[in-house]
Amino acid sequence: MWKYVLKRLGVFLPGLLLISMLVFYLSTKSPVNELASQCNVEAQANFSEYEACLKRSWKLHKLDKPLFYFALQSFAEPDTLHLIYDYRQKAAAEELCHHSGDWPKVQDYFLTIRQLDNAHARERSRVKTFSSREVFSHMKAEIIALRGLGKVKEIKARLDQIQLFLQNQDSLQMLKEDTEKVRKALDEIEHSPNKWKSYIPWFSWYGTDNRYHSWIKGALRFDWGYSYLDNSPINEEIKRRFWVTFGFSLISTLLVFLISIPLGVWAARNKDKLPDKLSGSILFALDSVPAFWMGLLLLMTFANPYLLKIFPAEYMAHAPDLSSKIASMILPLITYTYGSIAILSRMTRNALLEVSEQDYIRTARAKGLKENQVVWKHGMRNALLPMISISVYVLPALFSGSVIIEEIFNIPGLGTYIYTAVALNNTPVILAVFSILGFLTLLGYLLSDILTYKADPRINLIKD
Amino acid sequence: MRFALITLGVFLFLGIFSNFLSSSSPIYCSYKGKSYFPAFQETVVLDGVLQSSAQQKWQNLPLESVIWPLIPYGTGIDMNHRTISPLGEQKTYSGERIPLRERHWLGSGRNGLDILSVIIRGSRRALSIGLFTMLIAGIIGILLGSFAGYFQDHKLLLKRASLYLMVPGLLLASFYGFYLRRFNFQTEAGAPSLISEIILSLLIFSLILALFLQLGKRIYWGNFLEEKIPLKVDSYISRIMELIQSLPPLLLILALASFFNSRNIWFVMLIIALVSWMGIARVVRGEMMSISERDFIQAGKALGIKPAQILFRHVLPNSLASVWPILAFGIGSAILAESTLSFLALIEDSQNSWGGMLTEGKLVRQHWWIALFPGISIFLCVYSFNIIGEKLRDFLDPRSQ
Repeated sequence: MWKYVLKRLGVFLPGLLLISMLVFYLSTKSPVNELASQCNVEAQANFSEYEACLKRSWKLHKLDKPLFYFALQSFAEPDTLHLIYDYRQKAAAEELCHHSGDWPKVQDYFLTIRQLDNAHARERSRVKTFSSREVFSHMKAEIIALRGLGKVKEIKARLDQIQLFLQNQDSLQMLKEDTEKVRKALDEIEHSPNKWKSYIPWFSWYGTDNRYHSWIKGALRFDWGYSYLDNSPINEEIKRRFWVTFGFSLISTLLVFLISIPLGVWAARNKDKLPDKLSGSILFALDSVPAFWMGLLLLMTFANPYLLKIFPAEYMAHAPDLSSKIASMILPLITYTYGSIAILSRMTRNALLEVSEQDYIRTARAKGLKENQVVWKHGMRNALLPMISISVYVLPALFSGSVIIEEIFNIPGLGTYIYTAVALNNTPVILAVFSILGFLTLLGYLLSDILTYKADPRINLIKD
Repeated sequence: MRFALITLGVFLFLGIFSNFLSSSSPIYCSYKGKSYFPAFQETVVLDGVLQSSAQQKWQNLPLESVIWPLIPYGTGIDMNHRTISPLGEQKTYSGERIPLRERHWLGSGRNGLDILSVIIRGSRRALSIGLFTMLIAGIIGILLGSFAGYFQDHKLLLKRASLYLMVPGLLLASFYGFYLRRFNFQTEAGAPSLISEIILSLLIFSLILALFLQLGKRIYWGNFLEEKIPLKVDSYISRIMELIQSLPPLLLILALASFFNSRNIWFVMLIIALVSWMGIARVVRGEMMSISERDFIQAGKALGIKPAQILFRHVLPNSLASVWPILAFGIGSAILAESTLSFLALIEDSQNSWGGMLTEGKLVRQHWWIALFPGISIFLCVYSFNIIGEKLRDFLDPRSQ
């Protein structure tokens, strides 16, 4: 038994690690503009303030570290690219570096842009007339855009625009020169002789001081980092919401088994009679009803002030008494369970019918056992075996359903949490909720495998 | 079965002819001696001016001859036709009677969107998403499944040298195939160019990998590295399938859609396909394993037919029959997934889909028609595909009845 558990863990743990790496890697593809919008637009006008703000949140979210233990990149790229905290500038620098193969020249180019920005700020404080102020604010927008552009063609268009602004302004010789410098730096990038460098693969080693390492270390201690929205710790929010979702899932699972097994047995005992056919076709149809439509229909019929107002429309987390809390849970629970009941009861029926053709059932009948005893003790016990392995499919379905159902019934659980996070690209939250629910599902699979093995050691799900 | 086929036929008809059936602009009209087909054109040139055909008020123009579609409503918002019940007499927001030809047969939504027109346009979207998604999932599933089933754990023998060379080969292939070309994927040109970029990348990837494999194969590497060892194809593919299948599918789709920050419908279809190929692969793998042990395959091998020919000409066609029911179920669940994502407003252009209409139904509960009719459409469509899947399965495997 323990040998089997150990073996199973030997497959489970590497799989978990692999998934965590893959999901974390994909999550870093997500845009971080939500984070930048924290540093408000006012601050953007003042470059250094904006920079300081970005730097602070960058540090908080540990974005200033390399991604992984090692990286496969091109020879032209520096291994310090992760230190750039302006995500747009970082993308631009990466692309320019890829085109030119010459990192120092890209650095020079960004330095000239910075000089242009500084010169712009100096000159702007001098001008008084309204019309030239307008020119200056247009120019500022162009310069900000310039910092995030990685395609030479687009940069040139912006530079043309800036030079167009400056054309008739004789007093702004300084700015003209600085723009010319940017153009020269760009030219050097465009005609760099080092282009071959980006076609050489290069391997750089970063060690344990990287983003994945610190994330997985935090995850093992249930420390999921901070929300991109308001830098609040995710832990506390999850602690508050976890038990709601978990409670609903637990009650639903129990309900599914309590209802679907007797239903399946009842259908199997009335095989091919009217009740079996009727329940079979109803359950088959229920399987195709989308959960959100079911939830809406229930709301429209039973929580509608214009029709029937039996149940409250929303889940009440802080209900005054128990009965009203239970009343508010009934509609969500129906929506949670009906799909799994439809699947599981049909499976129970089929499993039982398969078993009932076996010899030992005939023997049991011949012994003169009561029908109830035959079905529940001899039939069901053996029919349960394939069901254990199937029943774990209930869990991912429930967790998936939690997003929809919590959204419809306003349940403050993990489902609504991840849904709002998805809408706002709040990556740390998505990562945290996905990891927790994914881990629980994988754990469920592990348990079911072990249970199946315990019920029948002949079934070995691992090949030797 | 007949019910399912008829229902799907109706939806297919609605989907194919959706422009003929429902549009705010005429199918055909002639104006100042010129002929127009505005229902099929995004923009038209009227009086020398380029105009959007959906926003043009065609009924106010002095048209010489005109053929209107059956339902004179399109995607447009009509504040004067706000939320009208399908029952009883229909009046506009300002109190005028709506003529019978312009009746909202299934009512209208909050912004005056005709529900019947949403159902017609939604059926095109739902069916095309279902079919396209399962096409991709089918390709992935059949490829990987037949690989796993045909080679299993012991039939693909590779030289140690080839196997070890795979490691640098994979690294280089991903560097030149994907890493170097990563800026090409950020095209704004849309799905077709993105798909061609991806195909090109895959081509480079497999070319480099093949190069390294050949390198291992052709050169003599010394006794130890020359030894042939089996590549455990089946174990690896099964493990991958297990892992993907054991994650909550909707959460996976949500997370991926957010990570790539894309609400693009093609992208979402691709994601749905990537989480739903496992059923097909499993069936193909099982069939492959049993078929490749059969007598006629053994006979073919004994006759000296090449392995590739056996695989593609004899084993694969025979094992594909059992894929059909899975495909039918898969289309149903892909439509379900699409409508769920549209309901959660996570796909662009969701007001044109059945699920997107239900979002509106959630807000106002007394307007039952908004949620009822699109929901029935989803249900009927998915239900029909499930019935067809079930019947196909019974047909192919009479024991399971």
